[in-house]
Amino acid sequence: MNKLLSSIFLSLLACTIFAQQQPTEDDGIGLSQEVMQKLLDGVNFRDQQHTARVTRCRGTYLRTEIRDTSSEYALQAEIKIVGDDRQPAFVLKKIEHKTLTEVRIYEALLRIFTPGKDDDHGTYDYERLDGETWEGESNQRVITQDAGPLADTDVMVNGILLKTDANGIIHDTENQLNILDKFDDLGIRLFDFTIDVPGFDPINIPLTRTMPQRRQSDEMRIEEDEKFEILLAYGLDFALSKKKPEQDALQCKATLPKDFAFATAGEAFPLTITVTNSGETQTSCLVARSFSRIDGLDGKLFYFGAIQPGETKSFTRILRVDENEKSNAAALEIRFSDSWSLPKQRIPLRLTLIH
Amino acid sequence: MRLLLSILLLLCMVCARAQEAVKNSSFQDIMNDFTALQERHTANQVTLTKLGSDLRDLPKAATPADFLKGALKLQKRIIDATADVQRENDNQVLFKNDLTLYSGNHKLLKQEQTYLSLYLDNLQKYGREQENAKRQLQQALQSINASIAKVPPPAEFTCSQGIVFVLYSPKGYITQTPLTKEQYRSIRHACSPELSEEELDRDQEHFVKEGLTLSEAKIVAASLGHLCGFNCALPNEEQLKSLGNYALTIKQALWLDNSTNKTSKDREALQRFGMTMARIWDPRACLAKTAGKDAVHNELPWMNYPELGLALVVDASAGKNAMLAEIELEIAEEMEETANDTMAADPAPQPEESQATDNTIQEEN
Repeated sequence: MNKLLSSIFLSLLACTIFAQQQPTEDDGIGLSQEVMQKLLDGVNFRDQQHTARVTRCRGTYLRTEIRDTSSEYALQAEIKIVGDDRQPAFVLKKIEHKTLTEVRIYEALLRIFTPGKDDDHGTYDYERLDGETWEGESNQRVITQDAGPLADTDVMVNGILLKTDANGIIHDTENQLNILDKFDDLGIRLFDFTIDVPGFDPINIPLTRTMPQRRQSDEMRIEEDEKFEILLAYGLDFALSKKKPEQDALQCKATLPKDFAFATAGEAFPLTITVTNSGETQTSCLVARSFSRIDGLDGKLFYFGAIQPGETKSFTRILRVDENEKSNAAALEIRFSDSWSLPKQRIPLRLTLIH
Repeated sequence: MRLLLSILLLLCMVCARAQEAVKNSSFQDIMNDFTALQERHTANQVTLTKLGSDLRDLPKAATPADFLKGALKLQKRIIDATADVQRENDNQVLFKNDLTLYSGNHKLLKQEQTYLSLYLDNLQKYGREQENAKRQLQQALQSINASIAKVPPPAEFTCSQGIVFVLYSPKGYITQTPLTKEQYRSIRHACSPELSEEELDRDQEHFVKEGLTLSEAKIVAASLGHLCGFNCALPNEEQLKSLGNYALTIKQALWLDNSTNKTSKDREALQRFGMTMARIWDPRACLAKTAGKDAVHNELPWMNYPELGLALVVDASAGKNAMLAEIELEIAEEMEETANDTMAADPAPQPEESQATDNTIQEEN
């Protein structure tokens, strides 16, 4: 029995010594053959009780290596004014979230501890281990970058099926979304749009129309975002002016398309209102509104805001005479309002209507 | 006015009489004057009695038209009787002054004194009777007026321009149809007689082919009202509730009176943009297939369509006044005929002496 135990002990010891002698690739703890040879050749061991300790350690930083890359795509929307008629439209672009798994690479060094008086005191020597590196901490880094427009894709906007063009603009040639119509009620300043695209999370767009009303303060609410503000998208200034505008100096006109001869019941057509400020003070929060018996022509707001002296601004709305209209004439009147009072200008329009 | 004239007349007569009295007035004249006065007073009393009797018989009229005719006649007679009583009252005052002057200017014989006392006593009595009669006549007039007021307006009437108005509710009338081109022409011609036939033709054509704007419609309403002597207007939204059956007969949309903007949206539009929209009623969907609530829509006041016409409303009193005016005309014609017949016949016999009668005019049941 004693002999057996002794054998087992000696075997274990031998294995340990043998394992220590094999070079390893992890933790830098194992010694390579070359190192072993150096030890055997050059190291002057005093005696077995004061053995030099050699360990592998980290040196200076060399580089960062990317070990893994993964990408996720999301959509980003914004509102833009597009087309000859300068109507608001949503623009979709893809955003790539690239996740990089990185590892910092250091030099690998050999640290040799030569004991002095005792094992706890001595000197350290370092040797670079050429050809070997030390892998340090790893981390993940996300890079977000523009991945280009969401081109030629079917999308659903508030349940309406539309398509983007090559630039990611959602085309709404039939004016089904009626974006501007949503804000024709002066009391509404926010309207939510939801865009659903297959393969992506739905995008919620809280579109706003912030127009100072008659009260003094007009603070932005927490859910409002300037990038979804329609009047800003149009580049309009609706800050209240402290100086009274010269309302009589405004020249206003209405313009229809050049080839427009008559309105057709059920078909859309653009109406542009143009205002020129011939005065010496800017206008203040200037808006216009259409009045008509016909629903498709009534209550449309035209936004101008501040028009500088000598400047001209235009705003276009897409109108449509209801299919149910029976008469042969369609009429509307444009009236103006600003933050000071009621400008006297008015534009009556009478259109021939065909069915 | 009548009172003022009476006072003026009285003053003149007093002056004249005073002058006359100062001249050569005899007691015989006094006696003659009293006799005439007495006779007139008696005649008035007879008239009053007859009036009372006729007032009691009025409710027995066969038809409402007969009742109304009788009431109007009675009304006139009461007014005339009241004037007569007042006139006699004034005469008596003058006579009394004459007596006073006479007795002041002459030395009276005993017999003359007796007569004067008797005359004065009678004058007092006549005065009391006249006051009583006036009171009763006033009550009778109020009663007659109340009876006339209770008579319901006729189902329809025709104004002086030949436009028929039909009763849509106890409160008012509406033109039987939206204004026709002939009616429109008639109104235009009546208001502007200087217009030539060609101009009227053009106007009429414009009315037919293009219709009227709100302001033109209001002018037509005011013109008709001016011509016919009553207030004429466009219907308002309140009146539409009573015009349900009328909607079935019309083939046009109609302008409405736009004195109020109903919805809060309209009010905000008015406040912020200074825009007042007009209102139209289109129950037959002449302008649009979809109808709003009660088929009322906003419309631009300067807009006109051939499908948009106008109907005019008047108060119920207009129809009643027209009916009364017609009856009064009949009465006047009858009276004229009667007067002509009377003049052609033999002279009437002398009135009989008056009797002391109870001249109480009883109220109608």
